[in-house]
Amino acid sequence: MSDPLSLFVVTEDGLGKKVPLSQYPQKGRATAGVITTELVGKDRVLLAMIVHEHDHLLLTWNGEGNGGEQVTAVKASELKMFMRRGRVYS
Amino acid sequence: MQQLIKQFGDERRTIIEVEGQAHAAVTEVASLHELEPLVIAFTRNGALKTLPADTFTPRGKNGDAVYTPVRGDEQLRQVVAATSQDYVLCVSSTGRVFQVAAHRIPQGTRSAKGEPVRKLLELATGEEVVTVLPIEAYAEDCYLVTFSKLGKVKKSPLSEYRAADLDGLQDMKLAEGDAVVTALISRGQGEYFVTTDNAQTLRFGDDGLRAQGRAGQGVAAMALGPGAKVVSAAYLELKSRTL
Repeated sequence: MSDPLSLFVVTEDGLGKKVPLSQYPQKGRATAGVITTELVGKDRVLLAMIVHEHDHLLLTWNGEGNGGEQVTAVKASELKMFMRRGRVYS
Repeated sequence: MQQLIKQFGDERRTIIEVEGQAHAAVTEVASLHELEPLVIAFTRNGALKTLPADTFTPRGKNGDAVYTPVRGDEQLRQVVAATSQDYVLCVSSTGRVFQVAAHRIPQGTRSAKGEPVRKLLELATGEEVVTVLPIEAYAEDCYLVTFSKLGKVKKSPLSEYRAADLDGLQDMKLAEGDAVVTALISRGQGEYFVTTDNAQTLRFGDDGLRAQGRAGQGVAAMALGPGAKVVSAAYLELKSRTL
Protein backbone atom coordinates (compact mmCIF):
# COMPACT_ATOMS: atom_id res chain seq x y z
CA MET A 1 0.00 0.00 0.00
CA SER A 2 1.38 3.43 -0.92
CA ASP A 3 2.04 6.10 1.71
CA PRO A 4 -1.01 8.44 1.79
CA LEU A 5 1.14 11.26 3.14
CA SER A 6 3.56 13.21 1.01
CA LEU A 7 5.55 16.42 0.91
CA PHE A 8 4.24 18.93 -1.62
CA VAL A 9 7.10 21.18 -2.74
CA VAL A 10 6.48 24.42 -4.67
CA THR A 11 9.12 26.65 -6.25
CA GLU A 12 9.18 30.38 -7.00
CA ASP A 13 8.74 29.69 -10.72
CA GLY A 14 5.42 28.02 -9.99
CA LEU A 15 6.55 24.42 -10.31
CA GLY A 16 5.61 21.78 -7.79
CA LYS A 17 5.76 18.08 -7.06
CA LYS A 18 4.48 15.59 -4.53
CA VAL A 19 7.01 13.25 -2.90
CA PRO A 20 6.12 10.32 -0.59
CA LEU A 21 7.24 10.94 3.00
CA SER A 22 8.90 7.53 2.98
CA GLN A 23 11.52 9.05 0.64
CA TYR A 24 12.80 11.18 3.51
CA PRO A 25 14.93 9.28 6.04
CA GLN A 26 14.84 10.51 9.62
CA LYS A 27 18.12 12.16 10.55
CA GLY A 28 19.50 13.93 13.57
CA ARG A 29 18.63 17.54 14.33
CA ALA A 30 21.20 20.09 13.09
CA THR A 31 22.21 17.94 10.10
CA ALA A 32 21.93 18.93 6.44
CA GLY A 33 19.00 16.76 5.35
CA VAL A 34 18.55 15.39 1.86
CA ILE A 35 17.84 16.90 -1.57
CA THR A 36 14.10 17.21 -2.10
CA THR A 37 14.18 18.31 -5.72
CA GLU A 38 16.49 19.55 -8.46
CA LEU A 39 16.21 23.22 -9.24
CA VAL A 40 16.65 24.77 -12.66
CA GLY A 41 18.62 28.00 -13.02
CA LYS A 42 17.94 30.52 -10.26
CA ASP A 43 14.72 28.90 -9.18
CA ARG A 44 14.34 28.47 -5.39
CA VAL A 45 11.98 26.50 -3.21
CA LEU A 46 9.09 28.65 -1.98
CA LEU A 47 7.39 26.27 0.43
CA ALA A 48 6.95 22.63 1.35
CA MET A 49 3.94 21.18 3.13
CA ILE A 50 2.68 17.77 4.18
CA VAL A 51 -0.43 16.71 2.28
CA HIS A 52 -2.76 13.74 2.63
CA GLU A 53 -4.27 12.01 -0.37
CA HIS A 54 -7.73 13.05 0.87
CA ASP A 55 -6.76 16.73 1.09
CA HIS A 56 -7.94 19.51 -1.17
CA LEU A 57 -5.17 21.97 -1.95
CA LEU A 58 -5.96 25.64 -2.33
CA LEU A 59 -3.49 26.97 -4.90
CA THR A 60 -3.19 30.72 -5.35
CA TRP A 61 -1.38 32.69 -8.00
CA ASN A 62 -1.22 36.16 -9.43
CA GLY A 63 -3.84 36.67 -12.10
CA GLU A 64 -2.47 37.95 -15.39
CA GLY A 65 -5.51 39.83 -16.62
CA ASN A 66 -6.76 41.96 -13.73
CA GLY A 67 -3.58 41.79 -11.67
CA GLY A 68 -5.45 40.22 -8.78
CA GLU A 69 -5.15 36.81 -7.20
CA GLN A 70 -6.83 33.65 -8.41
CA VAL A 71 -7.42 30.47 -6.50
CA THR A 72 -8.16 26.93 -7.51
CA ALA A 73 -8.95 23.88 -5.39
CA VAL A 74 -7.14 20.71 -6.43
CA LYS A 75 -7.49 17.24 -4.97
CA ALA A 76 -4.11 16.04 -3.71
CA SER A 77 -4.83 12.60 -5.13
CA GLU A 78 -4.94 14.09 -8.63
CA LEU A 79 -1.32 15.21 -8.40
CA LYS A 80 1.19 12.73 -9.69
CA MET A 81 3.71 11.32 -7.20
CA PHE A 82 7.40 11.80 -7.99
CA MET A 83 10.66 10.57 -6.58
CA ARG A 84 12.60 12.88 -4.31
CA ARG A 85 15.47 13.44 -6.74
CA GLY A 86 14.50 14.89 -10.06
CA ARG A 87 13.11 18.11 -11.42
CA VAL A 88 9.86 19.66 -10.41
CA TYR A 89 6.80 19.77 -12.63
CA SER A 90 4.13 22.38 -13.13
CA MET B 1 -7.55 46.47 66.00
CA GLN B 2 -8.67 43.15 67.47
CA GLN B 3 -11.77 44.84 68.78
CA LEU B 4 -12.59 46.23 65.32
CA ILE B 5 -12.11 42.77 63.81
CA LYS B 6 -14.42 41.24 66.38
CA GLN B 7 -17.01 43.96 65.81
CA PHE B 8 -16.99 44.18 62.01
CA GLY B 9 -15.06 41.13 60.80
CA ASP B 10 -16.80 38.78 58.35
CA GLU B 11 -15.91 36.39 55.51
CA ARG B 12 -13.99 37.85 52.56
CA ARG B 13 -16.31 38.50 49.63
CA THR B 14 -13.73 39.02 46.87
CA ILE B 15 -11.34 36.46 45.37
CA ILE B 16 -7.58 36.91 45.48
CA GLU B 17 -6.20 35.84 42.10
CA VAL B 18 -3.44 33.28 42.13
CA GLU B 19 -1.33 32.35 39.13
CA GLY B 20 -3.43 31.03 36.28
CA GLN B 21 -6.77 32.16 37.64
CA ALA B 22 -6.42 35.64 36.26
CA HIS B 23 -7.21 34.29 32.80
CA ALA B 24 -10.25 32.29 33.79
CA ALA B 25 -12.49 35.32 33.34
CA VAL B 26 -11.18 35.82 29.79
CA THR B 27 -12.22 32.27 28.91
CA GLU B 28 -15.69 32.95 30.21
CA VAL B 29 -16.03 36.06 28.06
CA ALA B 30 -14.89 34.08 25.01
CA SER B 31 -17.40 31.33 25.69
CA LEU B 32 -20.20 33.90 25.70
CA HIS B 33 -19.77 34.10 21.95
CA GLU B 34 -21.62 31.55 19.92
CA LEU B 35 -19.39 28.70 18.77
CA GLU B 36 -19.15 29.23 15.05
CA PRO B 37 -16.72 27.56 12.64
CA LEU B 38 -14.84 30.03 10.47
CA VAL B 39 -11.67 30.48 8.48
CA ILE B 40 -9.08 33.15 9.08
CA ALA B 41 -7.52 34.70 5.99
CA PHE B 42 -4.18 36.46 6.36
CA THR B 43 -2.81 38.40 3.39
CA ARG B 44 0.73 39.23 2.35
CA ASN B 45 0.22 42.93 3.04
CA GLY B 46 -0.70 42.13 6.62
CA ALA B 47 -4.50 42.16 6.66
CA LEU B 48 -6.63 39.77 8.70
CA LYS B 49 -10.27 38.85 8.31
CA THR B 50 -12.53 35.97 9.22
CA LEU B 51 -14.84 34.32 6.73
CA PRO B 52 -17.63 31.74 6.93
CA ALA B 53 -16.23 28.21 7.19
CA ASP B 54 -17.63 27.12 3.83
CA THR B 55 -16.03 29.95 1.87
CA PHE B 56 -13.43 27.72 0.24
CA THR B 57 -15.56 24.62 -0.24
CA PRO B 58 -14.77 23.27 -3.70
CA ARG B 59 -17.56 24.09 -6.11
CA GLY B 60 -18.37 23.39 -9.71
CA LYS B 61 -18.96 20.19 -11.60
CA ASN B 62 -15.55 18.72 -10.79
CA GLY B 63 -15.06 20.53 -7.52
CA ASP B 64 -12.30 22.67 -8.96
CA ALA B 65 -14.05 26.01 -9.49
CA VAL B 66 -11.84 29.09 -9.60
CA TYR B 67 -12.76 32.18 -7.66
CA THR B 68 -11.18 35.22 -6.07
CA PRO B 69 -10.73 34.83 -2.31
CA VAL B 70 -9.57 38.34 -1.49
CA ARG B 71 -9.56 41.76 -3.10
CA GLY B 72 -7.67 42.16 -6.33
CA ASP B 73 -4.96 44.23 -4.65
CA GLU B 74 -4.26 41.65 -1.93
CA GLN B 75 -2.48 38.30 -1.92
CA LEU B 76 -3.30 35.42 0.41
CA ARG B 77 -0.57 34.29 2.75
CA GLN B 78 -2.37 31.86 5.01
CA VAL B 79 -5.85 30.41 5.44
CA VAL B 80 -6.56 28.52 8.67
CA ALA B 81 -9.65 26.88 10.11
CA ALA B 82 -10.77 28.11 13.52
CA THR B 83 -13.84 28.77 15.63
CA SER B 84 -15.21 32.01 17.04
CA GLN B 85 -14.18 30.88 20.55
CA ASP B 86 -10.52 30.29 19.66
CA TYR B 87 -7.61 32.52 20.48
CA VAL B 88 -5.23 33.34 17.67
CA LEU B 89 -1.50 33.43 18.31
CA CYS B 90 0.33 35.71 15.89
CA VAL B 91 4.08 35.06 15.64
CA SER B 92 6.12 37.97 14.34
CA SER B 93 9.33 38.09 12.30
CA THR B 94 11.23 39.53 15.26
CA GLY B 95 10.33 36.65 17.55
CA ARG B 96 7.39 38.12 19.46
CA VAL B 97 4.08 36.39 20.06
CA PHE B 98 0.73 38.21 20.16
CA GLN B 99 -2.68 36.92 21.09
CA VAL B 100 -6.02 38.11 19.78
CA ALA B 101 -9.44 36.53 20.26
CA ALA B 102 -10.81 35.15 16.99
CA HIS B 103 -14.13 36.92 17.49
CA ARG B 104 -12.27 40.25 17.61
CA ILE B 105 -10.99 39.82 14.06
CA PRO B 106 -13.46 41.56 11.77
CA GLN B 107 -15.62 39.24 9.70
CA GLY B 108 -15.67 39.94 6.01
CA THR B 109 -16.55 38.55 2.65
CA ARG B 110 -14.22 37.30 -0.05
CA SER B 111 -14.25 40.70 -1.69
CA ALA B 112 -14.05 42.80 1.50
CA LYS B 113 -10.76 44.29 2.60
CA GLY B 114 -9.20 42.73 5.69
CA GLU B 115 -8.30 44.61 8.88
CA PRO B 116 -4.65 45.72 8.89
CA VAL B 117 -2.91 43.61 11.52
CA ARG B 118 -1.14 46.76 12.74
CA LYS B 119 -4.52 48.07 13.89
CA LEU B 120 -5.07 44.94 15.96
CA LEU B 121 -1.56 44.39 17.34
CA GLU B 122 1.17 46.67 18.67
CA LEU B 123 3.78 45.81 16.05
CA ALA B 124 7.11 47.63 15.97
CA THR B 125 8.45 49.34 12.88
CA GLY B 126 9.59 46.76 10.35
CA GLU B 127 8.01 43.92 12.30
CA GLU B 128 5.52 41.72 10.48
CA VAL B 129 3.35 38.76 11.40
CA VAL B 130 4.59 35.57 9.72
CA THR B 131 2.20 32.96 11.11
CA VAL B 132 -1.27 32.91 12.65
CA LEU B 133 -2.16 29.90 14.82
CA PRO B 134 -5.66 29.37 16.23
CA ILE B 135 -5.59 27.91 19.75
CA GLU B 136 -8.59 26.19 21.28
CA ALA B 137 -6.97 25.79 24.71
CA TYR B 138 -3.54 26.13 26.26
CA ALA B 139 -3.05 22.38 26.66
CA GLU B 140 -0.16 21.36 28.87
CA ASP B 141 1.09 18.78 26.37
CA CYS B 142 1.33 21.20 23.45
CA TYR B 143 4.29 23.30 22.38
CA LEU B 144 4.88 26.33 20.21
CA VAL B 145 7.78 25.53 17.87
CA THR B 146 9.39 28.47 16.09
CA PHE B 147 11.80 28.23 13.14
CA SER B 148 14.13 30.98 11.99
CA LYS B 149 15.55 31.82 8.58
CA LEU B 150 19.12 30.96 9.63
CA GLY B 151 18.16 27.49 10.81
CA LYS B 152 17.34 27.92 14.51
CA VAL B 153 14.41 26.27 16.24
CA LYS B 154 12.84 26.83 19.66
CA LYS B 155 10.23 24.68 21.35
CA SER B 156 8.38 26.07 24.37
CA PRO B 157 5.29 24.85 26.25
CA LEU B 158 2.13 26.48 24.91
CA SER B 159 1.06 27.33 28.45
CA GLU B 160 3.87 29.91 28.60
CA TYR B 161 1.98 32.04 26.07
CA ARG B 162 -1.21 32.27 28.09
CA ALA B 163 -0.31 35.81 29.09
CA ALA B 164 0.29 36.99 25.52
CA ASP B 165 -1.86 39.93 24.47
CA LEU B 166 -2.08 42.63 21.84
CA ASP B 167 1.24 44.13 23.04
CA GLY B 168 3.15 40.89 22.43
CA LEU B 169 5.50 38.72 24.45
CA GLN B 170 9.18 38.32 23.67
CA ASP B 171 9.69 34.76 22.51
CA MET B 172 12.68 33.87 20.34
CA LYS B 173 15.92 35.81 20.65
CA LEU B 174 17.37 36.20 17.18
CA ALA B 175 20.90 36.80 15.92
CA GLU B 176 21.58 39.80 13.71
CA GLY B 177 20.14 39.25 10.23
CA ASP B 178 17.93 36.40 11.39
CA ALA B 179 14.12 36.39 11.35
CA VAL B 180 11.35 34.00 12.24
CA VAL B 181 9.97 32.31 9.11
CA THR B 182 7.28 30.07 10.55
CA ALA B 183 5.87 28.58 13.73
CA LEU B 184 3.67 25.58 14.45
CA ILE B 185 1.97 23.73 17.26
CA SER B 186 3.45 20.39 18.31
CA ARG B 187 2.23 17.70 20.69
CA GLY B 188 5.81 16.68 21.40
CA GLN B 189 5.61 13.23 19.83
CA GLY B 190 5.97 13.76 16.11
CA GLU B 191 8.44 14.65 13.40
CA TYR B 192 9.51 17.89 11.74
CA PHE B 193 10.21 18.46 8.05
CA VAL B 194 12.36 21.55 7.55
CA THR B 195 12.97 22.75 3.98
CA THR B 196 15.43 25.30 2.69
CA ASP B 197 15.27 27.46 -0.43
CA ASN B 198 18.07 25.42 -2.02
CA ALA B 199 15.85 22.32 -1.87
CA GLN B 200 17.26 20.46 1.13
CA THR B 201 14.76 18.83 3.48
CA LEU B 202 15.60 17.54 6.94
CA ARG B 203 13.33 15.17 8.81
CA PHE B 204 13.98 14.87 12.54
CA GLY B 205 12.04 13.60 15.51
CA ASP B 206 10.52 15.50 18.41
CA ASP B 207 12.69 13.53 20.84
CA GLY B 208 15.72 15.36 19.46
CA LEU B 209 14.27 18.75 20.32
CA ARG B 210 14.10 19.58 24.01
CA ALA B 211 11.55 22.07 25.30
CA GLN B 212 12.89 25.26 26.85
CA GLY B 213 11.61 28.48 28.39
CA ARG B 214 9.73 31.08 26.44
CA ALA B 215 12.51 33.66 26.09
CA GLY B 216 15.51 31.92 24.56
CA GLN B 217 17.55 31.75 21.40
CA GLY B 218 16.74 28.15 20.56
CA VAL B 219 19.02 25.49 19.10
CA ALA B 220 20.19 24.59 15.60
CA ALA B 221 17.44 22.95 13.56
CA MET B 222 19.38 22.37 10.40
CA ALA B 223 22.89 22.80 9.01
CA LEU B 224 22.55 25.22 6.10
CA GLY B 225 24.67 25.49 2.97
CA PRO B 226 26.25 28.83 1.95
CA GLY B 227 23.54 31.44 1.39
CA ALA B 228 20.72 29.00 2.10
CA LYS B 229 17.78 29.86 4.30
CA VAL B 230 14.88 27.97 5.82
CA VAL B 231 11.63 28.65 3.96
CA SER B 232 9.16 26.31 5.63
CA ALA B 233 8.66 23.72 8.31
CA ALA B 234 5.93 21.12 8.69
CA TYR B 235 4.93 18.92 11.59
CA LEU B 236 3.73 15.34 11.39
CA GLU B 237 2.03 13.82 14.40
CA LEU B 238 2.94 10.18 14.82
CA LYS B 239 -0.67 9.06 15.07
CA SER B 240 -1.51 10.77 11.76
CA ARG B 241 1.03 8.67 9.89
CA THR B 242 -0.60 5.71 8.16
CA LEU B 243 1.50 3.33 6.12
